Amino acid sequence: MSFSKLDYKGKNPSTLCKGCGHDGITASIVNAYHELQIPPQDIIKLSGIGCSSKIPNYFMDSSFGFNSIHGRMASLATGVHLSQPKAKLLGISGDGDTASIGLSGFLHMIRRNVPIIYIIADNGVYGLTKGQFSATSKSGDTLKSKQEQVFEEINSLLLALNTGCDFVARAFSGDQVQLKSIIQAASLHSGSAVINVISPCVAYGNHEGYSKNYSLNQEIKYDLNEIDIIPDPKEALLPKLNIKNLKPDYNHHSIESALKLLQSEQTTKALHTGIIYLNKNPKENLNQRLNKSAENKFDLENFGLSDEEFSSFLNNYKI
Amino acid sequence: MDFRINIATPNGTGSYTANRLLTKILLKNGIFCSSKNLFPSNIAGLPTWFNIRINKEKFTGFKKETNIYIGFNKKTYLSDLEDIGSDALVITNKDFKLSTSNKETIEIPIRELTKPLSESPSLRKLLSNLVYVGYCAKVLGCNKEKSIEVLKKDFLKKSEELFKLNTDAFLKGFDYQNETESEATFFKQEKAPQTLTTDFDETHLIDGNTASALGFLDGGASVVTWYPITPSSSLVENFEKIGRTLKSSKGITVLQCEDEISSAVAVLGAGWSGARAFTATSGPGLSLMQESIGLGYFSEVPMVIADVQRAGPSTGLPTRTAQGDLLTAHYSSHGDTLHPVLLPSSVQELYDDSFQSLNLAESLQTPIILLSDLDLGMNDWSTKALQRSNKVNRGQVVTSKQDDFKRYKLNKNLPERSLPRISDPSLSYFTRGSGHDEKGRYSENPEVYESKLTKLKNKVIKNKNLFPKDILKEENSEFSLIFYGSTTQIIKEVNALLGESISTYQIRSLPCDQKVYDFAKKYKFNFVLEQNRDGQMHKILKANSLNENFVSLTQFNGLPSTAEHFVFQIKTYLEKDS
Repeated sequence: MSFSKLDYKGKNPSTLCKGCGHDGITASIVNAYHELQIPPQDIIKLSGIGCSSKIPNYFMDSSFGFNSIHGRMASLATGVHLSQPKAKLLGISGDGDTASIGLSGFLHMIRRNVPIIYIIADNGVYGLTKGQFSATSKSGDTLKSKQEQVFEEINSLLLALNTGCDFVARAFSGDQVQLKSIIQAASLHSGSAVINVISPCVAYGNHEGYSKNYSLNQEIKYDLNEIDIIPDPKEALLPKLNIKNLKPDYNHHSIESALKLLQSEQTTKALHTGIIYLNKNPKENLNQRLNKSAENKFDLENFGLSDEEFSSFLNNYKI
Repeated sequence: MDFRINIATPNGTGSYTANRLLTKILLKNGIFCSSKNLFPSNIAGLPTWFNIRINKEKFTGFKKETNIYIGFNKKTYLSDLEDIGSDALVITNKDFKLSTSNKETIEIPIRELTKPLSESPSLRKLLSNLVYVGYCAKVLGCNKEKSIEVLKKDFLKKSEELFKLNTDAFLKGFDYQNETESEATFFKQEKAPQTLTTDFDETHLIDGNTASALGFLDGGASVVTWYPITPSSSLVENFEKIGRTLKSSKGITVLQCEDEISSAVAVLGAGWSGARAFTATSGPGLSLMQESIGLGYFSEVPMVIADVQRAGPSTGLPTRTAQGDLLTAHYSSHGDTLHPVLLPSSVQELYDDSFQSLNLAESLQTPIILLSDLDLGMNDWSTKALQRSNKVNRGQVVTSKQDDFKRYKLNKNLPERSLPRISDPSLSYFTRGSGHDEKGRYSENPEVYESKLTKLKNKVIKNKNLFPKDILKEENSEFSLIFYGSTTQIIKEVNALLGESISTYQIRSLPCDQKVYDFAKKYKFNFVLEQNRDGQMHKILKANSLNENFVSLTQFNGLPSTAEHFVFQIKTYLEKDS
């Protein structure tokens, strides 16, 4: 059985602004999953609140989805994983959702290595509340109203790396092909895969003086690698991932390289995209660490304790 | 006969284990008793008072007057005695060298008695607790062999050596009494507990949190996410501990989260995708969970929150009891909500309600709050063997292909849901906490919103038949008593102190049943007894009442309520009225 592209595209039209970077993310997701022929019903779509969190509504209608509350997608994913350890989780969050209100949940999800593709649609502004700064905007950025950002930036990828994330990537919504292949690479990963996507806000964050605008990022974008996904001809095995390095001396398997690269961006002003870090020996995920089987816990029948267990338990409390 | 033993010790010295042992020894010897531990929010060194009440009528409420004071905390010894009547028997450590004016004080030479037991001073300190336990057991007429059986059950499974050491210490105390003369007078009095020995069916001693954990395990809870908080921590810890030892529950997952917000949202995630999930917390945690509870309510996701109440607001008194979260639980979150709240009053009801909360959450597909308190949850209660009568009900789950599936049908009495990766893809839907129509599609339509909110209210109200049933007893009295939760434990005593048979009504769940209003109409006054400042249940009852006369009576000092306190309030009210 094969799935057509229509099985991945959603029927609901996007209600985001015309030209919104987030629609590019939707397109990349559709193409990534279509090419890999991952059954939509195997995917669970999760999000928090914000423009970004609307994205799951625009693709794969036959997947279940949960658009939760602001900043809590990581905790929601944790609960879904505990209940269904085999589910493939696709979470879409934003910069406000992840780097402000949900920062603690984001980091704790990573430290527990909840298996999820966690996409941060990062535009540096709060769109739905009409253009306030988010914590990923850079010091010196100015809003349309000329208000200046006087605080430091929160770099969600640096935090992810420092918290033990085994898969850290960055993309630009203007390059849907690269984002597609990053998502495909992430889909082969068994733990938390964090993809930060610079996704300009056409309404509040696309002007000069704003570090997340389209033209600046198009200009400073530097591709770290070329990612190829080679399907197994017999379809018995997982597709093979081939990452070709484009930056001299860069090693995407080295956490030191990755940290150095992200820290250097303050001076180089480059936007490095691609797979920034991929642990060659990925750590166990949450369910595996709790020594659980990957079986589904849903069972309509077999519940509760046996009579013997119940009475042996009570016996401990008998005087 | 009615007796309170008040044991004062510094916390963190092993006295809690010893005091529980004394309770078990008394029960083993056929002396009916119950215990309440008044402890500080502290690891070690602050004063704690463990209270054992011996009562022939099986009254288990807190009693104001102390009859036997075991003063083993030098720091509080003198100040404690100021509040204790001079008739009380005082048992203390001779090494304190503190004199009192009490009629009868027995000074046990602890250092001398424990010296031969061990070289280690820290071990001797632990063993000194067993000395007063032994002495007390003897004084209260316990049989030596029966008492040692209790020690055997508790210590032998740990090690032979531990059993021997503790038994030796126990016997030092037990035998010591024979060598002194001073014990005589107090126990020559008629109140000697030997006369209390009766047959009773309460053959088990179990704390509420453990009973609750058992109910959740038996009800098939498989995912628990939580954040540690007194007095609820032992519920989850026991759930995990017991679950690991039992074969049928080996699939459980317990995850300690980063905060209560995360644990509540994770419960929603687990419940939404098919697990039976719950979290346990106390007041501050419930406050943090409000937004998630609203999400569960509006998007119709099963969720169970066990709130073991402590005295609030804010940090309040973390180790003291209260019934102050009733309104917060019932109306959690912003906007219009109405959450089912279960109100157990005993370990049996806690076991039942924990089990049933999972059934209700999945049948109604909404958050359920199980409200117990520190008194019920952390104290040991003498009980009959817990009875099992609950059956698992997973609510309406659809799995096979359907055209035009509506996840949120308006005209269904009980909601129907599908589950990710389990139900056919034709039953997939997009769950959201924002406005949505019957198919879960985003909607800001005024009629759609209004009918959704109306449906959510009706869903809870019209399915009251699924909730635990209120318990009422109708007598030919002028007034009645209405109560819930742990306050129920003192009602028998209130009735006895008032000297007549009073009609009583125990509320087992919220929202209130129409039955309580039909009941209340029959009485001139309906006293509503509870442990919070503002009479929260009284407020709920008043909000829907026409002309029933509800009178609020409260106790809110952080201590378990006493019958004496409420009887005084009732008498004062009746006098004013006449």
